[in-house]
Amino acid sequence: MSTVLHTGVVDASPPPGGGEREPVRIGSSQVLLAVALLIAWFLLYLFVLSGLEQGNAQSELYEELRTELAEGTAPTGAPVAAGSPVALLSIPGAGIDDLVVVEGSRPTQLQDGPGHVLGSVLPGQRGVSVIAGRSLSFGAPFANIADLPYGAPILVTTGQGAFVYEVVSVRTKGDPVPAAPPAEGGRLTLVTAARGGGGLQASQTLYVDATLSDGAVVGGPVSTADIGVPLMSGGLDTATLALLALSLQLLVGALVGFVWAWLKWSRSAAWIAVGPCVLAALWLVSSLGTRLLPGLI
Amino acid sequence: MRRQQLAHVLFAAAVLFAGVAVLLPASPTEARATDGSFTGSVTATRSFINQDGTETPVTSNKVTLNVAQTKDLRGRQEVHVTWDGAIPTGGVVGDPNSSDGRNQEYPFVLLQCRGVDGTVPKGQVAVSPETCWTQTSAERYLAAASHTPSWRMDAYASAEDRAAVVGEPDPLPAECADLAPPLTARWLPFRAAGGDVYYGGPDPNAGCSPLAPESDSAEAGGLPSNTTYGITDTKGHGEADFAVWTAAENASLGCSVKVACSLVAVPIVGVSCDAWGTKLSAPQTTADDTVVLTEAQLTTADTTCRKTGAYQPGESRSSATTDQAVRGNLWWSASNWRNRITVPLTFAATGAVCDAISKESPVELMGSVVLNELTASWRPEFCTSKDLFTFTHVQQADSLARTLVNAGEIDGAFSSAPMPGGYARPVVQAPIAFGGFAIAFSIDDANRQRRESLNLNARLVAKLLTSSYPAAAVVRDNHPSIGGNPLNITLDPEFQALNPGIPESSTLEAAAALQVFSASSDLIWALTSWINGDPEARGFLNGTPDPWGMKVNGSYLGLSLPLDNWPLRDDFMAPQWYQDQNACYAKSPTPFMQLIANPPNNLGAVALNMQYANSSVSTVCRFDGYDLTTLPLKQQGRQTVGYRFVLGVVSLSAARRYNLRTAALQTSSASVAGQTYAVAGRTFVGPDNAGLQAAAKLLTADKAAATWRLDYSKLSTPEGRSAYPGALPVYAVVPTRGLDEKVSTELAKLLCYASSAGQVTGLANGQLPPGYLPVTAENGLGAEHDYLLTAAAAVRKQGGDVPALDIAAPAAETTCDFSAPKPSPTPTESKSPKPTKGPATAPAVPNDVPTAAAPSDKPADSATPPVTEAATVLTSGQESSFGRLGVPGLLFFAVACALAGSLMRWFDPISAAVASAGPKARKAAQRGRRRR
Repeated sequence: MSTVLHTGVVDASPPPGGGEREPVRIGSSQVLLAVALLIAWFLLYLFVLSGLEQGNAQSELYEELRTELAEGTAPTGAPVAAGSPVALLSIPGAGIDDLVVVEGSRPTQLQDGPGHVLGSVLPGQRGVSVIAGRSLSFGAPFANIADLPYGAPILVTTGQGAFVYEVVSVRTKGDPVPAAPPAEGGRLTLVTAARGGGGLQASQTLYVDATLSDGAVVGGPVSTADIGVPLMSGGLDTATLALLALSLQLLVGALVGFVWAWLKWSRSAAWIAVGPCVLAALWLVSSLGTRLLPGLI
Repeated sequence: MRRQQLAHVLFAAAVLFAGVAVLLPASPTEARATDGSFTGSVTATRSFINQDGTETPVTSNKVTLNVAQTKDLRGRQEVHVTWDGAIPTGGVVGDPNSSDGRNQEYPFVLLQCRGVDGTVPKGQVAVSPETCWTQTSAERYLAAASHTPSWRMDAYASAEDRAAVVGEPDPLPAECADLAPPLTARWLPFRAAGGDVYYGGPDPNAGCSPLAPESDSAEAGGLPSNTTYGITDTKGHGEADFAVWTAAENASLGCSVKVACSLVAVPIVGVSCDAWGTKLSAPQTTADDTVVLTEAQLTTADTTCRKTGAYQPGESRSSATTDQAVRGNLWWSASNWRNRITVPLTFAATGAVCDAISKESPVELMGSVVLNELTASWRPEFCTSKDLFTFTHVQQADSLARTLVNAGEIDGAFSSAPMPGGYARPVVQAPIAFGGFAIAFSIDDANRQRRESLNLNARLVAKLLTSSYPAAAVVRDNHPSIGGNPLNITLDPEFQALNPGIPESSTLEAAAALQVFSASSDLIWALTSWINGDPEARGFLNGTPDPWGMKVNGSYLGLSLPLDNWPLRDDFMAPQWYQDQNACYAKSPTPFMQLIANPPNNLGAVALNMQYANSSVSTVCRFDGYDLTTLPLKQQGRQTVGYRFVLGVVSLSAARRYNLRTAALQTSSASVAGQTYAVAGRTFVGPDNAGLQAAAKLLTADKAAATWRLDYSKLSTPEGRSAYPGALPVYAVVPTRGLDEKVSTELAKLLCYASSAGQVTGLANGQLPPGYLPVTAENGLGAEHDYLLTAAAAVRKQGGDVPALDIAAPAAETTCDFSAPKPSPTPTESKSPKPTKGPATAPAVPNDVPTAAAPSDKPADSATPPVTEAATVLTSGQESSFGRLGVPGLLFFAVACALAGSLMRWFDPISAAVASAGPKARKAAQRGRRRR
């Protein structure tokens, strides 16, 4: 009925938790930590997990190529479907053992292994053949080709036979290009990004030329060159973006599911059941995301 | 004072010894000229000692000997020997080098012996018959069926040498016991360089007793003997070409720079007879030392010994026996041996000295076989000179050497032809020598004498190379395309027209072949370039028959030239009846014309075949008692002297070293009205100095290839008519980028040497051997000589220049001064290579990778001299900023975010932890809390 007067000390200290600034601080710190974790995941994917992906793709391609070589149906000229295996590459001096070379040199194909650049002849044929490969991620097959000495052998097996090339030059920007091979000889050029900065940087393209002095065979038709995506620039093509958008939606969905399981279910159940789904979605997003990066990285 | 006295004494002694040294040389008089030739003479006498002890002189000859070269000799080189005043030879054989030559009467014997005459220096031996080389045992072992052969009656021999059996090995080998012991025998063992003694004997093959290993027959791989039983003509004059051997050719003789050897000339005058033994203290006996020779025996001996020759001077050998006392096989007997003229021989150091001296690993230079003699001369000089370096010349196909230097496998190559498609690396091609190829021949004319000149045109050479002569009747009757052609070149009317007087023979298979070695070489490239440039030969290859209707072999029709390796394309197999008849051919059936051509596998083998007239035609099937199951086809081997006919392609320097006769090659032909084939309008030029100098004028600069080439089309012009078509410049291909400092300096030294001391002709090591034209301005090669200096500067600089051919040469003093560091670039030197025009061809292909169609091209503004041409396209790479910055940036960003985030999130616990660390920290935290 009347106002009650409390006597005594009034606690005017600020409320626990820091007041308004606390949520902001906590929130922003959480965001920063999340960003750091995300980037760490991305680097982990780039250097380690993508290698596993490539290894899986390589084993499938190897089975396919093996069958094709045995049956004699391996391609000898255009047209070859993008991503299908065309040759087997071994460079003992660079630690490359029986790697399947696929057709095409877009980042998508280079995720599966070294790619045969369109517009050049297939390896083993007369003329110049170009194979591009990654040097940082996805197994980094061409990480060590810069150290190949002159005369190092490069063995290529295609449907037309086995050929041994010998390295004649290693060059980057500014070095002279070797002269065109003679009419009956062949040349193989390996393209990758030169590693630097302690293995983290891969900025300049590096070319390794190797000649086939005798035994070059006449090839089939040469495919038209792919001018869409230069080797060292990322591709923002719509297909990849669309897939990336879909995969991001999937990731979001997985995260939502994880949060729901965290709140409504039990924490450990959320980790065990939904954690791998999140991881898989994250992997998918990373895989599609790296297709936007330069293909030789 | 004492020192002064000592000085006076020493001076006097020096004068005394000098005087003695001047007076010391007595008869036989000798003169060794500064050019290395030797002239000596001896008075050779023969006398008979009668029973009463008086001496009857018989003959006295003053023999003069001249040897053309005795210094700086190299293995298998032939030196020209002439003599005068000797007794004319009777019972003449065809081949003075054969073992049968020993049975001639009064031959002039030339032997190569180890050792020296007179005072023997330490480590050397004295010349004796036991150190002189003969190849067969018959020349060293004599056995007679009588007790009194002429050598036992030699007045000048010692008593031991006049015994019945002299020199027998002790103990006698067991195999000798199987043979019947002769009544008299004279063994002359051969002392080999290693100390082994080879006795020879009646049957060395059966073990009694073995000969030196080099005595094997030529077919088994040994060299034909160099022992010459020279033939003196009726005027007392004679000549021979004596092949000297080093330890590399004959290890048992073992002559080298360290082991002194001599050429010993023994003019045979016959045994000075002393049948009655007046010079002996004890009478002579028979073999078992028991029975003294009877008076009757001694009289017979005297009669036999006093014979002066059954043949007339100059008469050829027939079935009559020659007189023993004057035979060549008694060259060792004291009567003959004491008249010898010993010519000391000095050998040039070979490359073997480099393996012993130099400790550094040699620079390997690979390629051109044309430079073999040049590098053999320069290599010992280089490795023993402290200003120069050690190198080895690996003989190889020039095309392979070019590929290797292009790929960076080797540091320098010798080649002559340009690289197809150009070099990928910047290289400079410096002309270090002007040599050439020669067609060597060993042909005897109708008088069985060696023919000294031969005319060949390109069409004849093309006929030989394309196996257009059937060579044998089986081919002529069964071959699809060459059946109508003459059997061999001696029956070819074109050859007869150009070289009258060569005997025709339808069985001479070697006359259907030209020996060309089978390895690839620019020597063959030059030969085929000359053939290709000759309109008659080119027409013949394209199918036009010659004026007598001879056609090219169908397998070679339209062959495109030049080639650096002659292909064997004919695959005609002999019919079955021939295989039945020739068991060796049936065992290994091969295309028949390939057996005729049978190319030796290297240039040295061809030179050897030409020197000793070996035919490489391998159609011989001879069962020689060995394995019946293999029955291989054998080469025809050494042709009989007097009936020789071989032709082969060698380098000019090899022809000069081994004294091979070389053919004159046709340069131009003009048709004469009314004649189908005109000999008169044709010019033939031999490989002498004048021919090479005229060929030097025909060199045209090929700017694209950065070399000079012989323009074969100019041979038919008036200036080119006197040029030798076989001339071939040889270049040292040296990269001008990528060599380390040591190697580039050494190669620059090579080029500097080649531009100065290396072009001085001479026989000593380090000089230019015969067979090369010096690259100097006097010979019309001034531009080439200057380019050597330009090249040396570019090699030293290692800046990646490819200097143009007409650039002004730098001064030799600065370029070739290796005591100072590299000379700084002068304004006249070439500029650094300019980047070329932008990436070529389709933009689809990565820009810097050329397709097979687009050749590497030069910048367009290379027309203005003097500008360096860098004939290369530069790589235009691609760059990615994400690659450069992305990953490290991401890493850095992630670390930063993590730090910031964790700091913000757990600020309180962190600050509490910091506060508990110390009072100051607590105060800061308090201050911080109060501020809040």
